[in-house]
Parts: sequence; C-alpha cells; structure tokens
Amino acid sequence: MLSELRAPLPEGCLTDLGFDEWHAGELDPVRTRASELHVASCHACQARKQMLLSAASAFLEQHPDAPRLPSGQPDVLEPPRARAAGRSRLRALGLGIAGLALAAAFAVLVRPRPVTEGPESALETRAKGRAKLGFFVKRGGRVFEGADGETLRAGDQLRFVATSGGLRQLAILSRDGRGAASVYYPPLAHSRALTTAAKTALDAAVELDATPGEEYLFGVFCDTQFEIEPLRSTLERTGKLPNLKGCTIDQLRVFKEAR
Amino acid sequence: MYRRARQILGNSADAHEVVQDLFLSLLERPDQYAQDTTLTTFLYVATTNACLNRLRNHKNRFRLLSENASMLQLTGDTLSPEQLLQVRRALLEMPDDLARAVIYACVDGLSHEEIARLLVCSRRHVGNLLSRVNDWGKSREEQSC
Repeated sequence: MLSELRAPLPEGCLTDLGFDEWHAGELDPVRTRASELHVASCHACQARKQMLLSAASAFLEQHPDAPRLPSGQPDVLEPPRARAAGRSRLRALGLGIAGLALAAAFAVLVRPRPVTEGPESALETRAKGRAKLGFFVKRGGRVFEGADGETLRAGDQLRFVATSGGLRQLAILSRDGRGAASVYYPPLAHSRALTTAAKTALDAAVELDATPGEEYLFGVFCDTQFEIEPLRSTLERTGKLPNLKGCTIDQLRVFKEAR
Repeated sequence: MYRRARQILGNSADAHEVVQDLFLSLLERPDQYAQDTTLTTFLYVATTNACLNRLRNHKNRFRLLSENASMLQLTGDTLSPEQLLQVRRALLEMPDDLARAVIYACVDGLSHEEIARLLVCSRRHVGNLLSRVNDWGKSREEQSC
C-alpha cells in the first residue's frame, strides 16, 4: 500500500527532519542530547548524517557563485530593489540561502584575530598566506563569535569560517586534551577547495564532545590538494603537524569544559 | 529545501526553480514566515506545497512523470525509482491533504508525530489520513481493473 512503501525507522533513529532541526539548533536540550547519544552509537544514523552533510557540501560546490554567509551583515529577507534586473542575482541568492538556510542561526562577522602561540608546528608559513581560521559557537539558542583562548562546553556547536589568503585548499584538524586528533573539515580523505579568497563560512558544523581540557584547532591551507589522514595521524602521534611545503597554518587554542 | 525538492520532483532543474521561487516569494513577503513555528518546519511545509503545485502544473505533468527517476536516488533514499514514480503519479491526482501526508510519510519517511507537527493536526488525524491514502489507492486499483 502507498502509505507503507517506506518502513518506519527503528526506535530512536532520526528522520531527515530531525537531522535538519538538529543542525539548525532548533531541538530543545533534551532532544539534542538524546540525538547526540543515539547517533554516537547508531551506524545507520551516522551514515545518514554524513550523507546529508555531503549533499549540502556538493550543493555548495556546484554553486560556487552562491553567496556564503557573507562577511557583511546581509539581511537576506530584505526586499530586492529591482527584481527584474536582479533576477539572476536573486537566483544565486536563493540557491545560496537554500544551501545555508538550516545553518541560518550562524551569522558571519569575522574580525581580525591575532595569531597566538600554541603547540609547536613545523608547518611552513609564508608571507603570501594571510590565511585565517575562525569559528562561531552555537550554545543552546545563543550564537557568538569564538576567539582564540575561548572557553567552550561539551555540546557546543562550532561553525568554522576561513579566509584563504590565496591558498585555496583547506582542512581543519583538532587535537583534544587527551591527545586524540580529529578531522573537523572536510568529511573527506583530502582537503577541499575554498571557492573564494574572502571570508567564508564552511558548510559543516561540528559538535564538541565531552573530553575536557585544552584543545587546538588547526586550519591547514595549501596551494594544492592534500591528503588529511597522514596529517591527523602525525598530529595524534607527535602533537605536531608534519612539514608541508606551500602551506600555511592558522591555529587556535580553546578550553573545553564539561557542560 | 533543494534536497527535498529534488526528491519530490525528481530532477535538479525543477528543484532549483522551486527553491528560487520560494525565496523570491520570501524576499517579497517575509511575513509569510510565521514566528510561531521553527524555520525548518516552515521550510518543509513551504517546499512541500511548492513542489505539489509544480507537479500539478499541467505544463509539467508529462515531463516530470516521464523523466528518468534514477536521479531521485542520489540522496540515498530507500524508495526505488519505480516506487517514487508511483508516488508522484498518486500525488498528481489525490486530494491535497492526502498528497501532503504521502510526501511526508513516503518521501520524507517522517514519523506520525512529525507529520502531525507539520500539518498542525493530531497524530490520530495523521493515521486517518494515511488510511484514506490506502483507501484511495485501492479504489484506483479497482477502477483500473
């Protein structure tokens, strides 16, 4: 029968609506926590979540002209001044908004942040690279810009912003208080191209786990595409990133406390 | 929105158009977004209605139904292309309230609770709607026999 074409999901599994609401920060704390716990132990939901994120990434890659969350203060619902003349622009705007709508809670106003000291990195830095990594924090219903040295909580959602400085390939890695290294961006085996040199909100957010302590975030910007796993494994093993020619790194230190 | 529009309509071009038109509409009349609902809920409902309208546009009917449905599976859905085609054919002809329930239940795979939230009705009513969907399907089969 028509209404039974699709079998119900197992108890606790998230539907796409559930994922979308979670991603948009619209779930209450209880449901958010329940979703986190469930997805952490459910391979099917992990796969679906990854698939949805990949679909969103693919959309944005297919539409490089679509505006990212801009570095100004766009009011996307502001009435257009000249609809007829601006049809194509509005089309791009619509597509851009579509890709970003579910992350609409994140505003992007990036102010310059001084480079700070962290664990020693052997990555080459270059004058060319004014590449910068930044992030916004979503905590409950509140969104604020994070800064180097920020104190974060388990469950905080981070949305990264990056300025390529001409180095278009990017990956973001982290090393937490227990020495575990993770890849935060992109959800691929290799780096992903930034579509613009300007400040750009990346198309994925991460949710911090409950591991307390100091955590370092590394934005690795390179001229050419690179494999991420060798970087991650070296970072985990040695606490440093390996040397890569033609790359620059921007790193941030945050402190993670239990909720 | 784009993901769902493509699932319902079966191709990227129409999905783009639907999303574009929805946002143009929102740019012109932002008050359509009622603040008493979440943005995600609002966008789900708006996308559903826009896709139904597009499917039912006479100019689009034949084209949308005759297109290769294989694209629908790009997003990893559980329905086969044939099943999705069956759903889309049904959407063209069934009453609006049933059509929306079918999209939420069959295409989106939502729970009765979620469907009730989107349709602003009770779970019992959702159950009734889906029963009517099955009755409608049976009556169509009988007619075709």
